[in-house]
Amino acid sequence: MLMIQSENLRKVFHASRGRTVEAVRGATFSVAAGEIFGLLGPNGAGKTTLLRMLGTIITPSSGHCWIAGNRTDLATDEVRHHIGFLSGNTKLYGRLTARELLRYFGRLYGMPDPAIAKRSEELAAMLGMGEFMERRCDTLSTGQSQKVSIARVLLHDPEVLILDEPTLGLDIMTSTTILDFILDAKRRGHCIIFSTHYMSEAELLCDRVGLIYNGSLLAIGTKQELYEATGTDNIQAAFLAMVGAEERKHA
Amino acid sequence: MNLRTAKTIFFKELLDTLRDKRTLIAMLGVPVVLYPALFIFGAQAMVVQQDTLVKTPSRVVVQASDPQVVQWISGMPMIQLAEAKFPSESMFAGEIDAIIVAQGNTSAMLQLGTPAKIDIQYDATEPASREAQRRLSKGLEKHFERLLNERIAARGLPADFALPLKIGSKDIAPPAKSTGTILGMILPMIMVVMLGVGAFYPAIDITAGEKERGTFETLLSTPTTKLEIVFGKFLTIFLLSLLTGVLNLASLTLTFAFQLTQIQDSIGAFEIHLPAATVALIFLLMAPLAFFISAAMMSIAVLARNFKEAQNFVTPFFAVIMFPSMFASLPGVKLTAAMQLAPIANVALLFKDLMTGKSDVQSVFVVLVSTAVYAVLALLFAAWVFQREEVILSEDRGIPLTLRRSEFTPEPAPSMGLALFLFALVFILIFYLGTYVQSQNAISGTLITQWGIILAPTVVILWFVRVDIVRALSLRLPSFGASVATLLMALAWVVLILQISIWQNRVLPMPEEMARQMEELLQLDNPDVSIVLILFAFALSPAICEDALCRGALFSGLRRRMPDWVAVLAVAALFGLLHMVVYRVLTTAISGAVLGYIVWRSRSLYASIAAHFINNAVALLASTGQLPQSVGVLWTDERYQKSGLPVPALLGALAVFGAGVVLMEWTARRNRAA
Repeated sequence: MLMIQSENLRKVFHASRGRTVEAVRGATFSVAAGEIFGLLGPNGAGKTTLLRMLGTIITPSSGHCWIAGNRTDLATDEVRHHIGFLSGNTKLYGRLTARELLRYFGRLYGMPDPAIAKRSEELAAMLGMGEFMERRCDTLSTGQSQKVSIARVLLHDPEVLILDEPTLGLDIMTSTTILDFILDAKRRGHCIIFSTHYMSEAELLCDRVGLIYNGSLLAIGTKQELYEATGTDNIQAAFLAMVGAEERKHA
Repeated sequence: MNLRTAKTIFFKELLDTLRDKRTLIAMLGVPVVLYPALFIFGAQAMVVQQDTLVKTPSRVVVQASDPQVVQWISGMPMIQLAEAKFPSESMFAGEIDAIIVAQGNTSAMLQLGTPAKIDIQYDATEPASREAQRRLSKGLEKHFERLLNERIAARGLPADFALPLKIGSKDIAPPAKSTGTILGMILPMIMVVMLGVGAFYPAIDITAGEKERGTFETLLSTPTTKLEIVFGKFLTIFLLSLLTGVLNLASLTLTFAFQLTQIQDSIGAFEIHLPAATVALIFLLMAPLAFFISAAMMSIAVLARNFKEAQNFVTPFFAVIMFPSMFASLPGVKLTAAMQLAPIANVALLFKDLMTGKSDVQSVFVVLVSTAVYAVLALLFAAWVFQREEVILSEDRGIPLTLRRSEFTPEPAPSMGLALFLFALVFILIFYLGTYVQSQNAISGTLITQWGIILAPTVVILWFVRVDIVRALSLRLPSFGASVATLLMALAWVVLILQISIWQNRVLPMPEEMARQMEELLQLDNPDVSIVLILFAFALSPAICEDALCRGALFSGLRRRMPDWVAVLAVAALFGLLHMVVYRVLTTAISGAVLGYIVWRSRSLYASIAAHFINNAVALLASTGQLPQSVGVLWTDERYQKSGLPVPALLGALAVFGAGVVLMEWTARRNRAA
């Protein structure tokens, strides 16, 4: 079942004095339940903008996308119940404790308090957060914070996980926690789209990969398909070949 | 909007903010600890000082040749005679408190019946010296009365012979009123400051602070609407602002009352007497004011990228809202119908009236409603700001604080924002500078205003942001057809606008005094001023400079964002405002619309400059009597001023004007086709 469908998504930003920047230039793709889709591209390629559109943080300039069959611009509320959104910009409220934070978000998702309490305990046990549930988030280590963030994303049990560079700037231990969590979510049938510029992560996790460069999706396919199309044998080489071809086209 | 979600956000923000030390200090620390401490210690210090002053004798140097005077002085209570070589120096050094100077032999002069002169020299900046002066004049007055009575008795006259009038004055205002006046002057300002202080940190912390801490996106990914977020956050700021206001006001009042009991003796009776209903009304008034201040501060703070920048944005706003409350505290400023609508000032003035028991239901109602309207407008603005994703998600963009010409890209016209900014700048400059230089000298003042205040900033700013000045100001020659059309319209308009101003004069006549002053200032009758200079100053200069700003920069900026004809009307309205005299706004705005039409259709600023010049020049020539009698009579004949211009003249003008418009439209269409 297709959980994410994106049709010709475009986003144009209005810079100062009437100039415009086209951050995403018509992205069309889909991701199924139980699939991990990796979005690869250098900084500034448009990964974050594309994921923010899927996550209903920003509205597309044109084109549409559907999450679990709901169009993001028409059924925004419904869509948000189906997604868990995690990015470098979804930090925690430092002055709340982990438990208070989960309670707050649970209420925003419309969950009744007893359900929130029960779910929090489950997640605390699953992620090993027992010892710091009552500590304020600004006293937590990076790894502990990341676990609270994951708990926050999973709290309302969304079918679709949108993760924007979830391992950026983390140490090996913590990023391993994240990667395990992604694989685990896949096993439980979640649909996952995540962006990264670590090629090794993509190679390890992804069922399919989309290469994005300068706002355009250059190629979409399984790793094998990409290798064959470019005559390479690893993602990094495939990526460089694609970008090189693209740049020659515009030169 | 789901109120449950808004409530969830509200409680979370409240908890979050209350865990922030800065908020707690502003809300609780200042009122609960600082005021009582400051005021009580301050009051006690005052009491102690007053006490020592009363108990310390004054040291006085007497410079008199007559031992009688020395004897008088030394006999006064709390006076101690002192010696000093250089008495004034000693007084400034604080070694003595006052000097008595008696010239000549006082006793001898008294015998002769000539007034004897005695001076008290003191230093009014020193409390001890003022006290010495008080004691000395009191003592000397006693001797004065004694001597007077002796003289009257010696001549066998009645005791009150030298008392033809008994003049008494007495303040019979009830103590509640005097107290109310003083409180009414201080409290509104304190109230605005306190509500502002209470809103300041929360407003910044839960908007720009949240942006800086990177939690906004987390919140936006949840099923909440922007309106729920705005409302929940706003309620938090509002509550904290109100709480701070109430706590501060209560603390101040209590401290004040306590302090009064301590210094009562030294400053006399001073009682606070406020009916409970008034107190309730005061707190009721604080709510819409807190509402307004919170919403405004929040919408400003959210524009900033981080906490520090938000402080830079909100602080000026804070300073700005203090002005109306200070203004209201000035004696003589009254809550007039117009003032009832002035934000902040209206609440402050109503407050003042409430304190002195002068307010009525009508004004309370109007002030409450208008403040509520402003508050809702401010909240709507905040909600609108939150809807804009580029503002909410801007981690690296904000209002640029550095300006370099190279950062701008060349543009054919200014943006609407820049055009409006330019207009506002010129408007303010004219208000503060232009009116001043024109009041000094009309001709040089007008020249400075036109070329220096209107044209120069327009050209310099457009150049700086790299706008193509030739294109933005439509600096191209009109086609032959458009030139003829402009000429026809301009000549006919001279007559039509005269009729319009006659109507205007009937509805809203300019006060005669004002009209006379303006005429005097123009020096039209002054034979030393040549007509060429007058035409240059009052016809050609405004035509060039005002048109460059209004029909040039402003028009090209506004038409980027609105249909051309709307831009013509908007520019005309602003052009009217630029003249700043309420009796001329309407006529200048209508003329502005005609000039705007000419620029729009002829695509040439020169055309509207010519029309503007013709309009002003004819009026000037007419009022100096330099037009042929047959035409000039339209301006000079009193009859027309009363009954309107003769119908044939009006119809003729309308026909010519219409012909001009038809020709203009025809040329414009032909040009577009070509």
